[in-house]
Amino acid sequence: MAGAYEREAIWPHVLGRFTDLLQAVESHPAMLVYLDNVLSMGADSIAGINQDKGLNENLARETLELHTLGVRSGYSQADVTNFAKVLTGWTWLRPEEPVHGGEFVFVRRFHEPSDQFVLGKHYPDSGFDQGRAVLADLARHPATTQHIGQKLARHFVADDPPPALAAKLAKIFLDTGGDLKEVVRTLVTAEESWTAPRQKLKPPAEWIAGVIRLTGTAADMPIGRIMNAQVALGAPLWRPPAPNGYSDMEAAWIDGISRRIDIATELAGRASRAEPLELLDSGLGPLASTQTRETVARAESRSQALALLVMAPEFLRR
Amino acid sequence: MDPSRRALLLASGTLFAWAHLPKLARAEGRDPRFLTIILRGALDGLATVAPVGDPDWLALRGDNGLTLDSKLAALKLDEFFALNPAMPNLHRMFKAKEAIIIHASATPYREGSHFDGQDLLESGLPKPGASESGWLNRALAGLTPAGRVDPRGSKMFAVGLVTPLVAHGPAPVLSWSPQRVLPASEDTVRRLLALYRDCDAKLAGVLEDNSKLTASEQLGTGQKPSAPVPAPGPGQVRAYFSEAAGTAAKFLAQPDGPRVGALALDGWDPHFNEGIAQGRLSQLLGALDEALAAIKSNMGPAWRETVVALATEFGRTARTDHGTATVALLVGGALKGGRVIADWPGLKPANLYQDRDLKPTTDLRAILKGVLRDHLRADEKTLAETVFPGSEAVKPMAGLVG
Repeated sequence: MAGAYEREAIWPHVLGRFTDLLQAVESHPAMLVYLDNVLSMGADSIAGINQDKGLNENLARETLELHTLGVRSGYSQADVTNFAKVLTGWTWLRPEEPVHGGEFVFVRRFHEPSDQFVLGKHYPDSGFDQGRAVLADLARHPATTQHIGQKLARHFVADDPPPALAAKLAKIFLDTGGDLKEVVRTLVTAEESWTAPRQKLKPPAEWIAGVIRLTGTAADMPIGRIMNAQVALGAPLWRPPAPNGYSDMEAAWIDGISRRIDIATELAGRASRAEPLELLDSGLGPLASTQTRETVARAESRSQALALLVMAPEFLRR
Repeated sequence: MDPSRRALLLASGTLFAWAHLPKLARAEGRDPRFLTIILRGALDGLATVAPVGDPDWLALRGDNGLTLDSKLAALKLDEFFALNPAMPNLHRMFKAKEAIIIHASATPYREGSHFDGQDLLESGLPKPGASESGWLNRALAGLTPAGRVDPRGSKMFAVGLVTPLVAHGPAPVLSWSPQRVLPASEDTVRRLLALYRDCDAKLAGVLEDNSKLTASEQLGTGQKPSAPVPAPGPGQVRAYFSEAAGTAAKFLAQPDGPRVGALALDGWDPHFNEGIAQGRLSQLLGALDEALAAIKSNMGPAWRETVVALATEFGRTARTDHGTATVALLVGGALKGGRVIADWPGLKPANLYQDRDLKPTTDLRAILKGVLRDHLRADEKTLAETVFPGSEAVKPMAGLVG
C-alpha cells in the first residue's frame, strides 16, 4: 500500500499546497491502516456502543507530532484525544467490496457525535468536515511552518541546518499559506543552501540512485538488486522502520558504510565498461579531491575504480 | 536470503552457446574444451614461478624471493624454476605433464594502467582503447560452427552479473553467477581507508571500527593487525574461486554442454604487504590452486580434452610495483605438459626491462594463438586478422597441445 500512498497522496502535492498534501495523507487508506484509524470508534458512536470498542489515538498523535506541529510544540494529551475523536469514522472500504473497495470512506456510525476542542478552538460536529477543519488549521499553524521548515532544511542541506535557512523556509511557508512550490523555490535559491559545507551523508536510496545514474546501469539493473541493496542498508523500499520515516541524520546511516562498499562493488561490477576517470569528471568535476582522483586512477580494475569513486567522500556526501 | 548477508561477486563467468562448437576439431574425433581465466590486477609472475636457478635472482628480489631451501620451500619444477608453495595441485599437474608455464611473457602493453592493460589482455587489440568485443568471442565466432542447435532455443542464457570483456562479441554467450558470494575485497576497503584518512576523518573512524584494521598495517610496517580483518577471509576466497571455476568445469564436462568458457578472478593487486610466502598473494595463489583442482575433478573424463589458459594484464617489478613480463599458465589433460617454456632474458641489471623489471620475451598472443589453432582448430589467418588484429608477425606457438 505504501507505493500507492506515495503515488496518490504525496507526489500530486509535492509542489502544491501543504494543506492539500495533509488532507490527502491523513485520509489515504495506507495511513489509516498503518496508524490504526480504520477501527477507531467514538465511545458514543453507534458502532462504539454496539461493539463496545473505542478510540485509537495513533493517527491523531502522529499527525500532531510528526506531520504538523512537531513534538513538544505545546499540544496536550487532551488535544490528542479530542483530535482522535474528530477523526473517528475516517476509514476505508475493505478491498473485497466490489465497487469502491480499497477507497477512503467516512463512516458516520463510527464517528463520535459531538463538538470538540482542539488547541483551544471549538469545532462543531460536522461529521467528516470536522476533521477537514482541524487539518486545515493545523496546516497553517505557526508551529507547523517551523517544523516543516526545519525538516526540509535538515533533509536537503545539513543535519544541523543553518537556523537562518530554516527560518526563511518557515516564513515563506507562513506568508504563502503553505505554498510548497514557493517554499522549494526559497530553499534552492537561499544562499545558506549552497554555502553550507558538503557534509550531508546521502541516505541509502539517494546514494544508490546516484550510483546507478552515474554508471548508466538503470536500463539493465534488476529491481530486485536495488531493493536488496536498500534492505541491506537499512532503508527497505516503502517500509520505514517507524512512523517517523527514514532518518535524516548521519548517525542512522554511517555505520552502513562497510555495507555500502559491498554494494558499490556489486553495482560497479555491472558497469565494468564505464570509464572511471570520465565518470569522475562528469559526476564530481571540480569537487573531486586530488586524493580521490589518484585513488580512482590507481585502482586495480575498472570495476574497483568505479566502486572507489562512488565510495569517495565527495560522492557519499553532498 | 538473510537481508544482512553481504551478497556480492568477485568473479563472473561466461560460457559460449552450443551452436559454437569447434566443427573441425570434432571432425578429427576430438571434443575439445577450453576455459580462459583472466586474473585481474597484475599477477606477480616472479612470485608465482621463481627463477631460483638464476644467479641474479636473490640480488633482484632479496628477502622477498622464493628459494628452494627456505622455511617455506618453493616446489621444484626443473633445474631453473620453482613454484610458489601455495600451489601443490598445480605442481602435481605439472609433474603429470598436465601443465605448461610460460615465463617472461606479456601482452603488447607496456604502460602501467591496470584498466588499459586489462583492455588489451581481454580485447586482443594491439593498443588500448574502447573495444566492444574480446579475443575469445571473436575466435569462437570465426570457427565453422558445428551446426548444432542450442537445445534451449535462445541465443543467450544470462543468469550472471557481468560478462568479462574477453567474452563479449558476436558469438552468443550464456553467463552465470556462482551461488557463493563474496563481500567487497579487503583491498578495496584498504584503499578507501587510506582515502578517508586523508579526506574524511569521520568515515575513516567508522571504517576502522568496522574492519578493525590497525594503523601499523596501513603504514606498511608489516606487523600483523591486532585484530583479524573480518572479510573476506582466505577461506571465503578459496571457496569462492573453487565454486566459480568448478561450476564452469561442470558445465563444460556435460556431453551436450558448452565447450568454451571464460572466467575473471579479481584481486591480484595487493599493493600492501604482498606476502609472497605467507600473506595475501600466497592466499590468493592457494585459492587459485584449489580452483584448478576443482576444474580437474569436475571435468572428469573430459579433462584429457581440456585446456585452461590463465593470463594477467602485466607482471610486477623487483619491488612488486606495476611491471611488465609475468607468467602465463596452461593446465589441462590435452597439453604436452610438464615444461616451463621461457626465452629467459636473465636478471642482470643490463638485462632488465627499463632497469627494473623482467624483460618480456614471449608475446602472450603467440601462446593463445597456438592453443586456439591447435586445440580448437582456429584458422591462422583469422587469428592474425580478427582475433588478434595486427599480429601477423606473432606466430602461434607450436606444440603446446598434443
